[in-house]
Amino acid sequence: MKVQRQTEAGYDDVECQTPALVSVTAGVVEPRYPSFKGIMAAKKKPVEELNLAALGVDAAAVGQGGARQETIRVTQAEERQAGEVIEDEGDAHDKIIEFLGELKIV
Amino acid sequence: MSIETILVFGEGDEGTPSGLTLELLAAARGIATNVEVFVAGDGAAMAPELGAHGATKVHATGPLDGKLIGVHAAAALQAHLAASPPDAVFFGQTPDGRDTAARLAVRIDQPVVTNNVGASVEDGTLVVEEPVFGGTQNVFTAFKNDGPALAMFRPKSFEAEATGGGDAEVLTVDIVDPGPAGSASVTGRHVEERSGPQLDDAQVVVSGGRGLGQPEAFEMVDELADLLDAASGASRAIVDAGWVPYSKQVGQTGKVVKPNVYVACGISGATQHLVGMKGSKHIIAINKDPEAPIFGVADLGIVGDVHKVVPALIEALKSR
Ligand SMILES: Cc1cc2nc3c(=O)[nH]c(=O)nc-3n(C[C@H](O)[C@H](O)[C@H](O)COP(=O)(O)OP(=O)(O)OC[C@H]3O[C@@H](n4cnc5c(N)ncnc54)[C@H](O)[C@@H]3O)c2cc1C
Repeated sequence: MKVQRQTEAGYDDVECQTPALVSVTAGVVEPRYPSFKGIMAAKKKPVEELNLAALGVDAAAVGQGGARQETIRVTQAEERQAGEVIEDEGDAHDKIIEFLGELKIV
Repeated sequence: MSIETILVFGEGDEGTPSGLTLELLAAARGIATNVEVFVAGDGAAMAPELGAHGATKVHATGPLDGKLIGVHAAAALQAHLAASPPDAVFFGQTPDGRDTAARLAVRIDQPVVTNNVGASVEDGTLVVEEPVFGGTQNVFTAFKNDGPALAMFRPKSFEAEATGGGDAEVLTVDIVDPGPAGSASVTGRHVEERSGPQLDDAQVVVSGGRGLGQPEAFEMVDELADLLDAASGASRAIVDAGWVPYSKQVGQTGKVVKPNVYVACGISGATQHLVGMKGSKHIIAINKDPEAPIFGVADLGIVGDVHKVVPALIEALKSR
């Protein structure tokens, strides 16, 4: 199997043997929309339910009890205050230049 | 228990540590007495700068050309941690950082907490801070495991700072057989062309969104960026639409930027975009919709048409 893998600088071509576990980034393909026929057919598909025992997972090792990290608090983040909002009357660019000037950007 | 040693997963390019690696060193130094670095690659070239930023030792595998980094880094780290376990390993939220941390967590059966922006010690335990709900709340998580705490951090969460330390001692880490995953190999590298100021460290960033209307309009964003010695960025909407490459994307699934000034042109200000830029010192927004959420974080908001305001701004800057 050949994939393109995102990197900090661009992307790499990566090859590997199957079976392989592959994750993708959001937006990698346009999802296909299901047809009416497909939606009807999906309703008849069997749904298999698995419990921990079927998965061979020790109940004590999962969930809140099994977690080896703990949420100790949740706080409100500091909010950014909105500043001045003006309507462009054909001179908004002057206002922007003035703003950048105060910051010595221009 | 207190925090004695933190190992930082170091990344870099051609012997230069990444900005994020240096940020993690600063964070680790703030809470641990000893900070070391693990490099999946050539560590010797990076050692002087890593040392200057407080690392005492650099554990490096040597070049891993053609290998998928995460696979080999996780296997080598597992062996290294067994021999000299640190209290925590800090990773940057990068493609290789994510890959390595996930594989390592499974290998050593330890929890990993991702997406953090802060780290502290409470009652002798490592506590990490993660923003949720578009950055409106912060969740604090304490590690309760026996064994190294694995924590991953977002870029720009800490200020990198040189301590004036000497070169870090370079030690070789053995490459070990990673098992079947080792069959993955890198057969080609594609580096996007980079010129001018980069999004990560530019003092000014000018970004465009769907409000530009069409791909060609991004040229005026680039032109404005040039005039302000800025990097150009984009919302995900126009990256997904193929107008600009992903490397320009700012936001939750793109880059986090903290420039002195961020100029948003035709960007609505969805929370996923805001988390990538609301740490900017100053924000200017141009949007024709007075109700656009971007105005909620802007220091200067212009309700107007980007096709009028931006060209006028470009002309005015040119005539100065
Ligand atoms: C899991 C997930 C992750 C995401 N990650 C990211 C991310 O990393 N970065 C990101 O940016 N988004 C991200 N998004 C998408 C995000 O939710 C928004 O869809 C996106 O940011 C919208 O981009 P936009 O502001 O360019 O477009 P829109 O929301 O369509 O906004 C366009 C704006 O332009 C204005 N406008 C239109 N015409 C003009 C004009 N002539 N002059 C001036 N203004 C005009 C409109 O008023 C509007 O406010 C993510 C979404 C999800 C679900």
